Parts: sequence; C-alpha cells; structure tokens
Amino acid sequence: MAEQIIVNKINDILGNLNNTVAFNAVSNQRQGDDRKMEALVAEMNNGQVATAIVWGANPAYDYSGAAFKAAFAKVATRISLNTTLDETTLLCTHAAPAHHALESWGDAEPKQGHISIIQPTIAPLFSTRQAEHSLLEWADSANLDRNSDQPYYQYVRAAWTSAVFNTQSRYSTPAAFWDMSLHDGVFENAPSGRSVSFNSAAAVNTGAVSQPSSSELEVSFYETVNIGNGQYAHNPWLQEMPDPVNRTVWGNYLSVPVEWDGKDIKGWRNLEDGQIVELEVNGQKIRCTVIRTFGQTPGTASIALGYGREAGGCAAGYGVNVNPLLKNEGGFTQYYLTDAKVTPTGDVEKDFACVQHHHTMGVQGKQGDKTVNVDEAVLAFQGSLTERSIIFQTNVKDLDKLETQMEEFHEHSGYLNSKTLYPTNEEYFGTGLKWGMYVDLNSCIGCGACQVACVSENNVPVVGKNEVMRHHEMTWLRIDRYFYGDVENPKVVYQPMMCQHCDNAPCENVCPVNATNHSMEGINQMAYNRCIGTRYCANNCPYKVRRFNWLDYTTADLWPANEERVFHGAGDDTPFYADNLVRMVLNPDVTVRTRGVIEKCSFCVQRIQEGKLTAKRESRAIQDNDVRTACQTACPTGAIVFGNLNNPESEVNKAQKNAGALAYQVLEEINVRPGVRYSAKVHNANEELFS
Amino acid sequence: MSHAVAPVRHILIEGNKSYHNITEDLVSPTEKSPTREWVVAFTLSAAFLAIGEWGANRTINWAYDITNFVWWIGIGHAGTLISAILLLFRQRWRTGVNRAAEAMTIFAVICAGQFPIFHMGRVWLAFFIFPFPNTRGPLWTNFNSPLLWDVFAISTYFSVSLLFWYTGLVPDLATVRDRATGFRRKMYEWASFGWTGSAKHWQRWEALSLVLAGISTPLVLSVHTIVSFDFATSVIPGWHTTIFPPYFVAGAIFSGFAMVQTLMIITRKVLRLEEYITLNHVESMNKVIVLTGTIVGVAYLTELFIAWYSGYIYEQFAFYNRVFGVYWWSYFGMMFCNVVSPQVFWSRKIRRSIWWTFFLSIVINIGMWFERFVIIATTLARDYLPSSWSYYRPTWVEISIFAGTIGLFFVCYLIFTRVAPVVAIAEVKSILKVAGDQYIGKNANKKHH
Repeated sequence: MAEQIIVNKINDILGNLNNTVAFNAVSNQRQGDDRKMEALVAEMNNGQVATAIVWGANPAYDYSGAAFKAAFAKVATRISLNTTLDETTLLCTHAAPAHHALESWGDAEPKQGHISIIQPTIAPLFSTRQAEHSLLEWADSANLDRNSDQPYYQYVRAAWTSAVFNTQSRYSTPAAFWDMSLHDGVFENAPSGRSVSFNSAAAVNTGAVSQPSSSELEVSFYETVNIGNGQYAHNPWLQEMPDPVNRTVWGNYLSVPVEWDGKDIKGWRNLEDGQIVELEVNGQKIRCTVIRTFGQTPGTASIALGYGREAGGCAAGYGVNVNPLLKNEGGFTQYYLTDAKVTPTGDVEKDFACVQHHHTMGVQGKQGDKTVNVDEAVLAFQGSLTERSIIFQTNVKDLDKLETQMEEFHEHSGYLNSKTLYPTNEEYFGTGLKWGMYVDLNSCIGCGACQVACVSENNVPVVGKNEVMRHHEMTWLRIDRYFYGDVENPKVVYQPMMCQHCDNAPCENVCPVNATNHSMEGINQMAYNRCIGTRYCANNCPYKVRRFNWLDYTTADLWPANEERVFHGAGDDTPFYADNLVRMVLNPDVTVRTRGVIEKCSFCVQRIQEGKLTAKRESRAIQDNDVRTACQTACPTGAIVFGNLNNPESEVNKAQKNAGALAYQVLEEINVRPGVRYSAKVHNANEELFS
Repeated sequence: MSHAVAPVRHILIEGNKSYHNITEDLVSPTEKSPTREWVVAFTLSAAFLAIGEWGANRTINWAYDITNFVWWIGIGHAGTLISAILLLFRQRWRTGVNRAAEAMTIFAVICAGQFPIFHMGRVWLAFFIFPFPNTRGPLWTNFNSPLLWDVFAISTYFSVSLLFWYTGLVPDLATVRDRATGFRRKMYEWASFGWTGSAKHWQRWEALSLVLAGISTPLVLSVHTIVSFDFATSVIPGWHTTIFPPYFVAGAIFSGFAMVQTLMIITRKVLRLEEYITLNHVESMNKVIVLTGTIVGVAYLTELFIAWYSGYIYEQFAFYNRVFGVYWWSYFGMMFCNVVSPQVFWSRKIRRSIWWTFFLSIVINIGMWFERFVIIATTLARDYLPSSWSYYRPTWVEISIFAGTIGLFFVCYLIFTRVAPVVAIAEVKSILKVAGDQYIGKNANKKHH
C-alpha cells in the first residue's frame, strides 16, 4: 500500500496523472478484497453463515488462511456451482455444476467502456445449468422467464435493453442494438472523462514501505502465465506449455539463483536441477524440486502458485501446493516470505521435465580481471555461443554498429550461399504465391500464446510429463529462451521457433520415401501417410523443429502396447485422447497423426487452403487477411506476421523491409534459405542501472 | 592332384596333413555331436536374443539404432576383403579363414539390417523404401536420399556376399554329402546342387568365383562409403565432412578384422582347428589391424585439424564438444581403443599371442562402437541451436536389442560351424605342400589316421 501511494505521488509530481496515467479506461479484470474474505471466514467460523454458494472460486485450495476448511464446515448448506469436482466442491453439501463458459450466455465489462456479450458456441454437453439461471431460480426472481428455451438469454437481453441501450444513440431499436452488439462481440461506450488528483491527505508513510530483509533467503510466490493461480491448472495444453522463464512443464519448481565462481556455473549452494529439497518457511515445510534460474536475484528463490492440486482434473498430483505457506499480514495475503530455509533431501525428481537444458547465448562474468562469457568458459570454448547466427541483439545506442555488422553478415552469407553447385530453384518461387513469415523479436514477450494456439489448431498431442522428460514433446512451435548480458543479472530474448520452411530444405532431400517435400508456394510439407519414420529429416534439421510420434499419442490407431505410456488423466484408465469428450478438441480440418510419423509446422496449410478458396469464391486475388496462421492470430503483441512474399504490398514484406538489415534468417549462412525471418533484438535498458 | 611347390613359401597349414586328414578334420564337426566348448558358447549366445522401445528424442533421433547398424555393417567388411581382395592379390593364407570370415559378413549384415528396419516409426510400411511399380501415383522413392542409397548398397552387398559364400561352399557341401547317410545325405545332396567334382564343374566354379570376387571387390570400398554418405551429405556440423568415405572404409576393415580375430580364436579353440587357423593367420590379420587402425587414427587427427582450420564456429564447436563435451568418455574410449591399443601389434610377440589378440580384438570392437556413437549421438546432442541441446541415454530396451543382435550373430555363426565346413576344404587342399615336408620331411613317418 505504501509503495502504491509513493508511486502515485511520483506520478503526480511528474505530471503524469490524467496524462499518461489515465483512469478513464481501467481494467476491471482483477478485483477482490482480502479483508472481505477474511471477514467472511470469521463469520463462517462464528456460525453466522447458513448458506454459502461457491461460484468460479476454489478457496479450499487457494485461500491462504488454513482456517477456511474448518470455517466452511460450519456452514450448514454449502453449494458449489463450479464446473469441475475441485477441492472446494468436494467439501460442499450440494453440487450444482454450471455451464462451461463456452455454453453460457452473459455479459461482462473487462475494461471500462468495453461491454461485451458472452455467447455460447456449443449446446450444453451435460445436464448442467447456467450459474446465473440457478441464482435467479433460487432467488425466485420475477425477471426469470421459466417458459423460455433459454431463460438467461432472455434475461441478459432484457437487461441490455433497459440498461445499455439508453446509453447510446446509434441504434434506434433495442433489437438492432442487440443484434449489432452481438455481431461485433463488444459494445464500446465512450468512457466518461474521469479526472483524478492526488489526495494529499494520503500521507506518504515511508516507514510502511517493505524493507529489504536481512534474512539469508527470501521466497516469492507467483502466478504463472499459463495456469494463473491454479484456475486453469486442469487444462493439459496449458500444463504442457513450458514456463517462459524456467521452460518447465507439469509442475512448479523452486527457482534458485545461479552463481559463477570463476570456473563453473553453479546453482545456489551447489543445488542442481531436479534435486528435491525441503523448503521451510513460515513455520511450515514442503518438499519441492529445484531448478537453477538465471536472473533469480541472489538471496531469493521463487515458486509458482497453482500446483499441487488434489482434485478437479488432470493437474492433480503435479507439483506442490504452496498456498498453505502464505502469510496474511495487515489484511493482505503476502506473496513473499523471508527467513526461508532450504535443506537438500538427497532425492532427485525422476520426471524432472524441462524442455530447454542450455539456457544462454553468452552471459558475462569475471574471470580474474577479464570479462568472459562464462557459459562459454564452461563449454571451454569462447565464442561457441555468441558467434552463432541465431540471435542478434544490441542496446539502442549501439544500433548503428549492429546494422553495419548485420549488413556485413548478410553480405558474407550471400557470398557463401552463392558458392553452391546446385540449382537454387529461385525461378519457381518468384511468381504466384510464396508464403513467408516475419517474427519481430522486439515485440515477442515470450508468453506462449502462439504455442497453445498452434497446439489447438493443429491437433498437436499432449504427451504428459514423463514423455516431456524424455524430450518427446510434440509442439510444432516452441519459444526458445536465451539469457545474455551479466551472469547474475541477465537480459532475456525469446525466439519463437517453428519450421522455417527452407527453400533448400535439408530435410527434404534425405527422406528416402519423399514423405516431405516442397510445395510450389514455398511450403515444406509432410505427407503423413507416406512417412515410414526413419527420422533422418529430424536429424538433418538445423533448427530441430521436427517432431516424431514416438508413441500413439492421439490414439489415432490405438496400440494396446502404447496405452500405458501415453498421457492419462489422473486416475483414468483410458488414455487422455481416447476419451470422446477430449477428442472434441481435435480440429476436423487437420489430420490426426498416428504413431511412427514425423510432423511439424505446416504454416497452417489448412487455413491457407481456406483462404485461397475464399478468394476464389469471391473471384479476387488472395489478400493478407484471407490467411492468418494460428500463432499469428493468438499473438497479443503482433510479433508474428505472415503472408505472401511475392506481393510487395503484403504486411510481411513491408515488415521485413522496415527492419532493413536487422531482418535476418537464423543460420543464414548455411544456405538452407528459410522462409521465416526474424528481427534483431534491440533493447533500451539503461546500462547504468543494470551494472 | 599334384601341386606346384613354392620352395620359399612357408607352410600355411600345420600338422603335416594329408588330403584325407583335411577332409576328416574339417567335416567331422558337422558329423560328431558338438564339443563341450561349442555347447557352452551356443548357450551363452542364445541367452542374448531379445526386443522393445527407444530412448532417442526430438534432438537425438538416431542413437543406438544407427550406431549399431554402422557397427555391424563395418564388421562385415573384413569378410569381403579377405574373400575378394586377398583372392585377387593371391594372398593364399586367406584360405584358412575366408569361409568363416564370409559367414561372419553374412551374419553381420543380417544383424545390421535389422536396425534400420526396427528404427523406423512404421515398420510395417518398410517396403515403401523399395522402388517398385505401384498404384500410388505411381509414387517413387527419393533417389536423392542417402538412405535409399543404403538400401541399394546393403542389399547388393548382402546378395553378392551370400552368393560368393555359397559358391565356395558347394564343393565342400558335396564332400559332406559323400560321407553322409540317410536324411543328412538328402539334405546335403540338395544343398550341393549335384556337384560331382568333374573338371567341367571345377572350371565353372573357378570362373564364377573369380567373377564374384571381381564384383565383391568394389563393394568393399563402396558399401561403407555409401553408409558414410548418410552423414557426410547432411548439414549437421561434425557429419558434413568429406573425409568420411575413406575413414569409414578403413574403420570398417579395422573392426571387421578385429571381429574375425575374435571369431577365429573361438573357432580354432572350440572346433580344435589350431592347425588350420594358425598363428601365422593371426599375425597376418594383426598386421592389417595395425595398418587400418593407424589410418583411422590419422583420420581422427585430420578431422580435428580441419575443424580448427575451417574457421567455422559450428564445426569447431562440434569437435570441441566431441573431445571435451558431455560425451567426452566415448571420445576417449574411441581414441584409446582404436588408436592407442592396436599399436602394441608392432611387437611380433604380441602379434603372435593368442590371448593378447583375443583381448585386443574385443577392445577394438568396443572402440569402433564408440566411434559410431561419437559420430552419431554426440554430434546430434549439440548441434546448431543451443535451445535444443539434449542428452541421450539408452533404455534397457535398446541395450537388449543390441545384445540380442550380438546373440543372434554368434548363434548363427555357431550353427554355421555345425552344418558346414568352417574352413574351405577344397581351397585348403590346394595350398598343401604336397611334394614338400609332407612326405620327405622329418615327420614323413607320422602315422595316418
């Protein structure tokens, strides 16, 4: 609180309030009051609550006060509207599961001034009822039309007519307004000009500012980008999406700092990846697995919330629940704790699943008086990482230097590549369509949305923790994460890496059966039913983006011998993908691959086909918007651009041209001629603050 | 059947054998019940037959499978070299070991051939790899792919080796037939294609042998050259090197001779053929081993030099990683077993020592296995993109399959020693010093069997 007041004061002094810090379009997404929750628990404890209805919350798991369960037990009628049989629902007297969000009507204002209508995309699969409907029913509301087919739809629509319709003047009838809002998905209501000023009465109590503790180790607890505080934990796609920093899956790990002793990179107290330790904090002990993390501040460790689930779905049994460790202070849950103790147990986690085992692109440290790349010193080879043409980066003040360097690099690569004895087939790709992609590493924030979108679009199977541990993950698109800069305080660059669709593809000529070949539109394509699985292509891929179906992951043609090895939900006898409910996630436009074949990014060829058909139907040339790949659609920062390279007006061409010499192909000099280009990473950090 | 005597030539067969002795000694293993040593060896070998799944991963897509494939193929090479090239060079001592070496080639190729098939994702579609007229388009194989070249190279190699081996066997099978009775006689009659030993038969047999030797000779060089193309034509640093063909061929002959030594030493002991497979044979083959081992050593050093000289970071790192990376132990295992250990064969005493030879022949084959592992797994483990660097460990299944092929190899070999003469009878008879020591020497009075 004190910190927030100080920040507001600084903004006030700088004249930022109502200027760059605007208050008229605030986000409504994260609201809550720890003190009210505390008060509720107290009331339940005192027997003042007769009925409790839980909806979209799971306090039995994620409320930090251990007192919740005992207090909740004192409530006579406990009703859960949650969609799964989670930890809280298990404690309830009644379960009245609500529709899934995709089966529901509703409305929301995620951001002030943006009112959106929630519309079902599928008829309810099970005999559930809309949560709001249940509440209206139980409240015996006069506004509920029980005779309607979709009572809550009628309710929402009536509410829009009475409450929202009057705030606009564009549409004259409520019906037109509703139809258009539903069509657009959102109704934008110009936010009222709200001006704020700093209340000088809020005295800045600097004494209340948290002070650095003198304890040896401080542990912080954080929500991950994939599963939040656990609310999305039961989605296996999100479980298998690697953590952007740790690159781990299916579990939470205690991140400990990395230390450089002049010879070797070591974990704090010589801890190693996968080692199980006992974390003692706040008078409690948990066992968790360690991962050494570059950039973890010395003297701190961190571990994610949301794991260690006991019930509710596939996440049960992975990782540890750290919620019981959290402390309530001054009415707020504190997400860090001091005076933590870590004791190695001598055990090692057998299923330690991390998809990236080399983490850096040259991080620097001192060796005697010299500054060296310490990871390269460990590899006993200075330059072994930094001289690779994978990542180019610079500080903005050295941009000119990097541009010159990259011009030279392009020239040198061009010279080397011109020495080939073989025909380049350039003439094939000069006309018609030639698909290409451009990834702006400056925009990429490494969130992983593209990866999940790809998994969802292309029926990429979930393989489970054990298989990821064996490096059998199937993701077509991965986000390589490299640290660089100072060893103890590194910077990070994310590089989405998918099939580069090389025009001189090393994978294509080595396939003995022609299962992978090049289309006239520059796509490196796979004929799954021709593939016999020699995996020569995967070996010869410089980018290692080809994935092999080591087992029958999707149960496309169920191999009884494989059944035990492929991914199962907790306590489930049938493999995950053999469940008909799960199979509903499969995209009917994309082949489900069988055991023993190679697969990889197809540039969403099914979407390309669809786009071509749309253009054909409308008798026009294909345009950028006709084809958007799944990763491109999902990227929140617009880092991925896709389109026709032969169209000078296409977005992808323009983006590449804008980047000038900073646009490059990864491993440009090995003459594989990729169809994907990246931009060099230019960071704008104040070097003085970093050093 | 008199034979020209070369006065300066050492005797190649010891024990003052007559033609009858030779027939008796060499055919009898197929007639008598097995010796105790054979039973022990067979039981040990049979215990190693097994099957299951791989520990390879998204980065290291080949490991045990192709390592073992190349290892076995390499081993096969000595057989062809002995039977074809040494025949053309008129190295007559080869007659003592050529039959067994050829059999070794056949069985090694059988073992090798299993790996490319097992390693496929969809084994049941393995036939896609053959170019045959079909209703799928017609859909042809990719003639650019080194794997397809392998298919041709290895199938040619196997057929020619098999023909060559069997051609040599025909007169000897007839000898066995002549001594056999009942059902055995029927079987050998069928197997020897009605060989009568007429001059016409011998003439045709000689001609065919020569033709097959001529066909086999280039195969000694071409098969492993093509196997090396699997790696040399790729873009992976550490694989993409022009030195691979000669280096692979030398390595193949090296490991093949080591395996011949292992087998011959077991054979002469188990079948009591010390007088046919003599110390001179052992010594000659050790000379080949020290030569090819040295060639291989020079190749290793050349690789390192060229990596440094290339000034190419990926290549330099690939070799640095081989020597000092996570798999350093396999590099040092390879260096020690293949380059250092055979150098002791410069000593004549060690060259002629059965125990040293047996021990080192096994060391060398371990070393040559390491070599293939270094080339395949170590290279793939750390290639271009550090994000994908990985580590490979074989699963028990992979180890079992490998052990299974070793078992299969020895089982096949030991069965072979029971059903066919393990030394080429007809050819050995041709090198006997008929007019020499046999009758006029100090042992002339030795009693005949």
